[in-house]
Order: sequence, then structure tokens, then C-alpha cells
Amino acid sequence: MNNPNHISQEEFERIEQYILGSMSASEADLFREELEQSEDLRKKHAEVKALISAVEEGALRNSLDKFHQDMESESSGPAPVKKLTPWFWSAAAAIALVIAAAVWTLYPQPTSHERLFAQYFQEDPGLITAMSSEGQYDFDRAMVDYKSGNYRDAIRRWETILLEKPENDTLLYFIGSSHLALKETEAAISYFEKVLLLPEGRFTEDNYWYLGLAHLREGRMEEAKVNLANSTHPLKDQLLKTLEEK
Amino acid sequence: MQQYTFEKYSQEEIIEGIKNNDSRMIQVFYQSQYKKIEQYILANNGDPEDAKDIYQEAFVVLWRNIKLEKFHPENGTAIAGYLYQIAKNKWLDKLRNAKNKITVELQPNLHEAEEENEPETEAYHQWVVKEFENLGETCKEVLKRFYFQKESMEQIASAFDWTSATARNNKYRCIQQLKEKWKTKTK
Repeated sequence: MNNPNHISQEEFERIEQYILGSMSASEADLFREELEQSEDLRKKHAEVKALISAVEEGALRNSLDKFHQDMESESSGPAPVKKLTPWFWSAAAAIALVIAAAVWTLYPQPTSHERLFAQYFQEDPGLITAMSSEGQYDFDRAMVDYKSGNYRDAIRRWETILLEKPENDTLLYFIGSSHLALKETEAAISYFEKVLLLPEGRFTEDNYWYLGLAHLREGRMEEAKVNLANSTHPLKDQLLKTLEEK
Repeated sequence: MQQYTFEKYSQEEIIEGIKNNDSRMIQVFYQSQYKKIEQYILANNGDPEDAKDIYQEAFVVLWRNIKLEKFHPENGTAIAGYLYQIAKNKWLDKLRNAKNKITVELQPNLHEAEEENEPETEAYHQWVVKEFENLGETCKEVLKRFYFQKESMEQIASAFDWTSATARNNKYRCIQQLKEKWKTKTK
């Protein structure tokens, strides 16, 4: 390793594709044969492999440092503010007032039903997955996306499975939940309504709750009340009472 | 019975995430376990800097062993105990080495999986790992995206506003930089 032979870009990329498994099966077979025959190629292969694994670890350590910094800056709270003179503060306050007044008149305020929605909406936490059994893997992978807040990817993966299982209540319910989390209320409603047409299952109660909330967000109070009333959510009575008082 | 163990994730999801270098999952797990290990090291003559170093060393060992399929959890939270044990052993080793260099193996089975390479290969590995930090920001980002985050050349090209060909050439150049530095060092 002290005197590494020069490896051209083309050769480097070929060796790398073999190591990373991004070669076609026939190319890989050919490469394996060449490896057996050529001492030179074996050396280069070993060098590239060592290099790649070390670079991967270097990148991991680089990420860990960033995670560590994030963690420390979160726990130490916001940075202290330098002391500023009083005139600065009165000027700043005056400017802030003017800006606030402008924003107030220029932008529409959230309506009361949107506020209520925001107050009561907490997305479904998702399911625990095993990430193992083969048939389930795609579903589980999407669930991890969902729990990580990558709703768009989750929807894409689940939609693919839905093509084969169009009447699966779990899929419909979680695609609806993903749309709701993305504030795509009408899309969410269309999925939740499909769940309603299926025999009762483990999502029936929650499905009513989120369907009700989705209608609430759109300001359709009657639909909201009917669906919320069918759910068994612990906050159901409180929310219904608030809606009755309006 | 599975549980939500680490924030919203189960141990299986964390293991799968580590295998795939899923940044989000690694971050959640990294941050969820740090306090415990920091407390241990602070309570045993260490400072926060020691805690961070030891924790990261232990985390890298865990990551490597998971990738090499050397970690077989016995229960739903085994991964946390495993990481704690590696960190603890590393810290005890360090304390012992500082004191008269007397080494007593407490739990040899946790050490054996760590370093199996030939000394020469291991030295090269450690050198590249360290030298990675000294690359320019662009090289670091390109190599990280390709070798760690497993992004495609097309994804990298669009992130930097390059053509795919430029992205490939730049990746090769960054690798060449590491090789050149090694050559200069061993001349």
C-alpha cells in the first residue's frame, strides 16, 4: 500500500461499482474472473475497498460531530443577547409596531376553525415496524418515512402498494394521515372516506376523528360534528362542546 | 413484543437505519444515548470533552459491528446497553492506560470485534478517516453524499448544479487528493 499504483478514473469507477454492488450480475461475474487472474487488479481492488470504507467512516464521524453540536446548542438555549442602549430599544419597538400593523392589515388571519384544527390536530404517531419480513418491508420502509416526517416519500411508497391492495384500510388510513399532515385536507378526506366504506377495523375510530378534524379545517361544521361524534378520542367531548358554543 | 424505544423508533428500525446510514435515524439514536454515557464519564474522572470522544469512538464501533452483522440483540433495548458497555470499556481502558499502562481485560468479547485488520491496513484506515476532515468543504460534501448517504451521481450533480460528468470527475479528484497526501506522507 506504500506505493499505490495509479488507478485511472475509469478503472477506479469500475472497481468501485463492483464493491458497492451497483454492477449488473454479468459484469460482476466478469470482474470476479479478472480478479482471480490478475494480481494487479487484486491489489487495486484491496486499495479501493480500504479507501472507500475509511471515507465512509470519515463521513460518519463528520456527521456525528454535527449531531453533537446540534445537541449542545439545543441544550444550552439561545445565545445571550448583547446589551443595547435604551434608545435602540424604543426605536426597535416603534418599528416593530409599524410592521405588525402592516402585517395585520395585509394578511388574512387564520379563521377560528383553522385555529381549532391546529389546537386539536396531532398526527397519528404511526405503527411500530419490524423491518424484517419480506412482504412487509416496503410498507415498513414507508412507515419509517412517515414517522420521520417525510410524508411525501411515505405517500409515494404506499401508493405503489395500494395499486395491488386497493381495499387495505391501513394503507388508506395512513395515506390519508400523510396528506392531512401536509395540510392537503381534501386529499386526506378522500382517503378517510374510503376507509369508512370498508368493514370496521382497527382504524375505524381514529379515522372518524381525523375525518372530523379535516372537515373542521375546511369550515364544514356539520360534517365535522357528525364524524367527531363517532370517534372515541379522549378530547372528543371537549371539542364538540366548543363547536356547539359557536 | 416490540416497543417504541428510541423516540418514535423501535430497535429494529434503528438497526436498519444504521445499516443504511440513515442520517435521521443515526441522529435520533446518537442523541438519545449521549446523556447516560456522559454522566458515567463525568462521574469517573472525565470531562465533557472526554465524554464526547469516548462516546463517538464507541458509536463508530457500534456502527461498524452492525454493518458487519456482528451485533445480535437479545431484547428490545439491547442496542443501548451494548453501546453503553463499549463506551464504558473504552473509558476504563483509557484510565488504565493513563495509570502505569497496566491492562486488564474486563470483557474481552467486546473488544475482539473491533480491530481485526492487519496493523498496516489499520494504520492506513485510521489515517484516511482522520484526513477526511482536512479535505475542502466541497470534497467532504461530495464524498459524504456518495459514500455515506449513498446518493446517486445525478442527485449530487443537481445539488451542486453540476453536470453528472463534472460530479463524477470531482469525486475522483477528491479521492485522488487523499491518495496524493498518503503518497507524500509515506515517501
